[in-house]
Amino acid sequence: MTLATDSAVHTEHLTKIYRDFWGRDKVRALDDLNLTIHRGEVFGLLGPNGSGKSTTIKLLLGLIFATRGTAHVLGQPAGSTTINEKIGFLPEESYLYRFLNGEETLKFYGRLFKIPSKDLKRRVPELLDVVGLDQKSRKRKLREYSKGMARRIGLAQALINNPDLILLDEPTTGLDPIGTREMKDLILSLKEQGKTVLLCSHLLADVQDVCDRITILFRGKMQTLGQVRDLLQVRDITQIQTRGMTPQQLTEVQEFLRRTGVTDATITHPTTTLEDLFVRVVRENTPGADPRIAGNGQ
Amino acid sequence: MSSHLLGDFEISNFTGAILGVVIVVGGLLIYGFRDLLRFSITRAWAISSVCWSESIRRKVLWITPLAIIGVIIVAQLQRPSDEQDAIRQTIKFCLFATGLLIVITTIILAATNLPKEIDTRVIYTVVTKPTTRLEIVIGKVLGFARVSGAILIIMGLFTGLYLHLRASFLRDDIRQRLEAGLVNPTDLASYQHYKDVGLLNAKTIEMPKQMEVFARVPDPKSKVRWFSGNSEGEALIPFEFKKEDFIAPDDNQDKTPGKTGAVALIKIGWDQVGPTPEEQRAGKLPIGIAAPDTKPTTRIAGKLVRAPQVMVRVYDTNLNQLLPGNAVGNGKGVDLADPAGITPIPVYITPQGIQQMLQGDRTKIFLNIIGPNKGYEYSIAPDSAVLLIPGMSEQTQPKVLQPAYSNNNPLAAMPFLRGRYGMGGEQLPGSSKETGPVVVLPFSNAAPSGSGAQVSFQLRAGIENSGDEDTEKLTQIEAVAYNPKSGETSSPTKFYLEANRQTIFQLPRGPLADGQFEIRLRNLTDDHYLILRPDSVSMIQSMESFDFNLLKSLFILWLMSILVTVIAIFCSTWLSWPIAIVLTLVILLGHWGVQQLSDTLQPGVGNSIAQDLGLQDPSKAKAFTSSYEALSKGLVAVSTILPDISQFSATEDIEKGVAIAPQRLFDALTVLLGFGVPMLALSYVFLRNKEVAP
Amino acid sequence: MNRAGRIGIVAVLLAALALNGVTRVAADHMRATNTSIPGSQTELSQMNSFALALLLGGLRGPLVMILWSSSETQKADKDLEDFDTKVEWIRLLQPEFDTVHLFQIWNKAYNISVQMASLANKYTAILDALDYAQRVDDQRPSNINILTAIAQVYFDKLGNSNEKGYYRERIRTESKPHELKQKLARNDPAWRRLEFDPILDDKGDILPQYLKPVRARPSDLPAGSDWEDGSALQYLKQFEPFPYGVSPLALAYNYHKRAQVLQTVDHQRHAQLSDMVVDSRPALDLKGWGEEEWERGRRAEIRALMGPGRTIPTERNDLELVAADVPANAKDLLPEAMQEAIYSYNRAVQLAAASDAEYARHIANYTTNAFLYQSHRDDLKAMSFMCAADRDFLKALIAHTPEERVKLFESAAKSYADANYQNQLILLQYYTGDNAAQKLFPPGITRTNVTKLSREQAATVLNAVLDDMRRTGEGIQNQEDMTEYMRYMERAARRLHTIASATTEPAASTQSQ
Repeated sequence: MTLATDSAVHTEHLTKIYRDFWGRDKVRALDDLNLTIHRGEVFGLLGPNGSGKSTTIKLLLGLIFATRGTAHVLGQPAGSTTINEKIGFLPEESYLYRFLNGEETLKFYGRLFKIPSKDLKRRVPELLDVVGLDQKSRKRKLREYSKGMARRIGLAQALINNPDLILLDEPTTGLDPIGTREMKDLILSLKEQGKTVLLCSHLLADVQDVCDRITILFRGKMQTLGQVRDLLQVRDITQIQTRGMTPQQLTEVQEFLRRTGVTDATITHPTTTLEDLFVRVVRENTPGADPRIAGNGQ
Repeated sequence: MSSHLLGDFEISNFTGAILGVVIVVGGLLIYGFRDLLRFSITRAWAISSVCWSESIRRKVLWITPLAIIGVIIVAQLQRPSDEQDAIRQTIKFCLFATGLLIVITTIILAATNLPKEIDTRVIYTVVTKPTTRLEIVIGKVLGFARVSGAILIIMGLFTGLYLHLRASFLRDDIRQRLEAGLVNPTDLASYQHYKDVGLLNAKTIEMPKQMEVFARVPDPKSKVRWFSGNSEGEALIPFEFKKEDFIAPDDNQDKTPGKTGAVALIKIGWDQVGPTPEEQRAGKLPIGIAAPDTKPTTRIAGKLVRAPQVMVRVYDTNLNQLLPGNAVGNGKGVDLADPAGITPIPVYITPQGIQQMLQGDRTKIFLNIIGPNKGYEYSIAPDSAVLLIPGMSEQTQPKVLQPAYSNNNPLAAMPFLRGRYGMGGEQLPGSSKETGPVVVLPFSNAAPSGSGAQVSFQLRAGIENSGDEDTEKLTQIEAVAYNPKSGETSSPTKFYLEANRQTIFQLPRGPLADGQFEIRLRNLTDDHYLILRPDSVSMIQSMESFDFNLLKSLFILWLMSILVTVIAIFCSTWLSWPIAIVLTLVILLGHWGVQQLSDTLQPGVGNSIAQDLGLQDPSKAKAFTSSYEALSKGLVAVSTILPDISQFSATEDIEKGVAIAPQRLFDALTVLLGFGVPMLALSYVFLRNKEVAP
Repeated sequence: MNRAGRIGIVAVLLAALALNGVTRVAADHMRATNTSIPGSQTELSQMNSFALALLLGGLRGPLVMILWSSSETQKADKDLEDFDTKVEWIRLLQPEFDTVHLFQIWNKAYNISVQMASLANKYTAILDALDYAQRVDDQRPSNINILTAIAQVYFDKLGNSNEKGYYRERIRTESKPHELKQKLARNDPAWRRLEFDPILDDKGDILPQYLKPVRARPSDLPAGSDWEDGSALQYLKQFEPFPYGVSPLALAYNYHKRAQVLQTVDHQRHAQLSDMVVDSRPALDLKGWGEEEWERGRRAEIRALMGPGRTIPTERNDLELVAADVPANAKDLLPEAMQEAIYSYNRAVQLAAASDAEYARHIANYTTNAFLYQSHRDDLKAMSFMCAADRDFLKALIAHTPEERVKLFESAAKSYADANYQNQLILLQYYTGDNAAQKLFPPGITRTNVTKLSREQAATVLNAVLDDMRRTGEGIQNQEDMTEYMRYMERAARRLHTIASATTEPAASTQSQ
């Protein structure tokens, strides 16, 4: 068993150079990428615009061909049609047939996976429920969808085949905070199901919440790679959180720190995120919605 | 396999087929073997359904009502020569509009689909599924085939309904006109036919095997045949030979063929059947004045008659005169003293004539015998001519070359007689007498189907007359069917004929039943000449349903639309859509276009164009000529690998009311598969190597 | 785009189309009122050239090329199915080119008709050509080119081709009211022309629709000046009625006259013919028509006088002497044939006068043609005398009273004598050789002034010329043409003899009373 066969994604010296008509190098979109994504993890691919994130995704999916190096996806060479059975892909925009409605779209993609009609009949409404598209919207043509609805249907088509590896390119773009939250919850649930998720985004907050590991690309090169927690940890600062401290207890803690020589301790109340606040407000005011908000560890 | 020949460049369809197979095998089996194994019709059909849905939802089918309105409007502008012509023209308009509609629609849809999907990146979500490029290509072909099929169904329904409506209305009109006696005599026979069977039909036609023109009806008990004088008839006797046959029998030196020339030994009988021109003139001269007497006379039954002459010529296998007049018989006529045709008469062919005859590895010629004298008929038999190759010395017995009659084909076991050949065919002179010149058209394996007492025939012939007629003098034809096996002759059918317009006449079924029969036509109108070709007469063997014929026609159009789709998709895999549309049209029309230019692409044309342009400088002329020749060859070479859309002949037969033969469907399918499948394979290869996410 | 927007756009498009049609009709109306320029008339309700041109846009050119090429190929291959349709399309696609129409009219009338064997089908092919010309005329009324083309078809093809006997008879018969053979409606696509449309009513007068003026006479035109008013048969009105139908030569005259007036008054110019030719045509047509009536008179006379069983010669020259010897008291005369003969002779006299007037008008405009057409005018004079004589002779045969009979015989005799004199002068002027003239003419008389010879002198001199011709052979090449005049004179002489020996009793009786 090698890394190539064992991992969800494994690249070695993966390079993509765009050439002009005469064969001269024009743009080095990806340069010598060595990357391994383990099965079952949520992996974030970060970087500014033009850093090579989309190029990496396209190479892995076989939409373009590598100039040098190799890429394996779920043990098979990237771009292999066979492996597409187990891959789901949510593109950056809604690249779907605008003249089909939601149900027809899913049925079409379901037939591409040769899902029997009987199963499709059951699965399509389930998926549409999962992504949060109501009954009326399912019957409307995609050209009438809002951005958020388009992302939802896009996600649905990515999940139609219950894939082992899901590639999400800017999944939360265009979603409102609730939608973003739901997307993140969904990603986490996919992880719980043992699926591998490759998440590509430049919205760092979203990545931070769900990814296990990330890599940052810049100008086609990998700059850093590691666990989110590890990468984000500020090791020389210790943070202790607890609930319901009385002022007297607080004073004693301060006294303790002074006594033990800790002079630059800061004691404050932590803040929630604006997203959490938004979600809480909306849910509190939505009848039947769960007022609890998961996020930020709370 | 037919060969396609233009100029010196010769590539057979067989070679093209090999090329196609290589592409298919290489592209699909070797390069895309895995994709071929993975091919799923479900996925391909799903993709086709999307193409279909897109076309429907973009209201592509709405173009059909516009086309229908256009056809109806255009049909109002027709000016037909008769009711059948009205139907014919309406069929033409309907099918032309249908064909044009589906070709244009298909080109636009198919050529723009893939580039649009790539531009809008919709293709991402398709190729990232377990869909092979092969399934994508085939799916799109299937999808647009469904669209063109829908258009064809709509247009086909309209065409059928419209034509039935028109035909029923016109048939009523014909019936009324027949009842009221308001039909021209030349149209009567045809109108009777239309009244009986209608205007919408699909005939299966049988053609005669050949056509011969005789001065008299051939006697089945005799091998003698008669042809008319006044140059209105001629006989052709085939000879096959090798060069060595013309080496003089006693030539032991250089053995040059043709050194001693040759002698055609002919035995031609004759009969005076009318006054000769001299006798006619003599009749008008005052008594006591005799007509000039220049011809030899002979006595027959105590009566002094003037003997006629024959001219002997040598023809090539295309029945064009091969040797100049003075090479054969010194260019003069040969006097025939023996009316019985027993005495052989020699006609000398010069050595130069023989040399010319043997040029270019020729192995077959026809000896042509023609009687120029008016008022005579000439007789000929299988033994009427041999070729003698004399020895160098008079004592040597000459070699004898017998005519090369076919032993297998009884039709070719005799000298071949034909009428005077003019523009448009052979002439059959008119005669109101009881006997006169007759054209015989033998049919074989042509048993008519059905059970009616009469069988219908079609005749289309030209008519020539002096043009001085001030009163109506219609050309009347008498037709008779004869069965050589049983000896049964039908009662004659008489009808009137108009020049170059199809007439339908009927003959009793009796002699025709076993399929081996002759149709004998006589022209009963003096001073009129019927101009006939072997295809002037045909038998309507059976009638099938027009609707079924229309279905076949639409099916051929559908096959063509699939070919167009394949070509358009192929072009769109590597070109932008505007260029793809143009290239599709070029590929479709390339072969046809080169065929239209065929005369100008022959070798030697460059030279004559250079002369026309006045290029005096030899080097410039040579440069121009060689460039022109190279361009011609290039065009021809390219055209041989382009599809021949003339094989999709969906309209020619149905317009004429002829049933579309299965062969036509097969031809269309052959082109589609022979060209379409390799193109499909190439599309797959191109798409597979294309980065769909630039 | 939403539904409301789409509906709005469609509504605007329809309104624009309707407005376009209204504007065009208005423009056409304005153009039509400007009489100096003949314009195209189109209607929005029909598929017409304008609509076709719009529909085809830039494809009109290639389509026209294909149609021309295809139609000419079909003509060469003698495949006439859908040929007419292609020609019609060419007409619709190239409406403004007169030369296109001239070619196609000629093409159909000559090249296509000649490909038919049956006279009936030749005839309908020529009528198709006239239909084509008529459709062009409807769109481009009062156009000199089209009118001349129509006239030429009537004159050359229907009036004077080898098959003229058949054509003339059919046109005459069908110009009278009759039951139509064609039962299909005119606008049915399968409609084909099988016959000439009736243009006369029961009385033999021209139907009103053919005399309806279309162009108003300008107020500033001088009172006596001719004006082409656009009615189809304007110039036949003066010859009404036509109890025996209208001759194609009459129709030729009518259209040639219209063209000539358009040239003279409207200053239109023919695209191909010279002004002189166009101006001369009415005179020539009337002469031809007059000669046709003369021939018809001869044939009717033979039928009337010799009975229906008598074979009538086909050649014109052979008609002269057949009934020349009929006695003055001939019995069993066919009354209808007599009336027809009298009518035809009378018409010939009328037409001779009209033709001469046209020649005079033409020569006044083109004096150089005076010499060219003097022989025509002399022929007309002789014809007029001869026909007047024959007319009066026949009238005398059926005169009701002896006085009338005598008067008519006297008139006929005078005209026969005049005819003879005129024919003698013609022979002396046009058919006498130079030597013979010099030798045999009286002093002071040349071929140009033979009119100075008295009747006796003319006869004497002519006899001498003929004797000389037989003896010396000079001028023998004109013998055949001279024979024609000799026969006229022979006929006249015989009639004079008959008149001289006629009694005064009305002895003639007709077959049925």
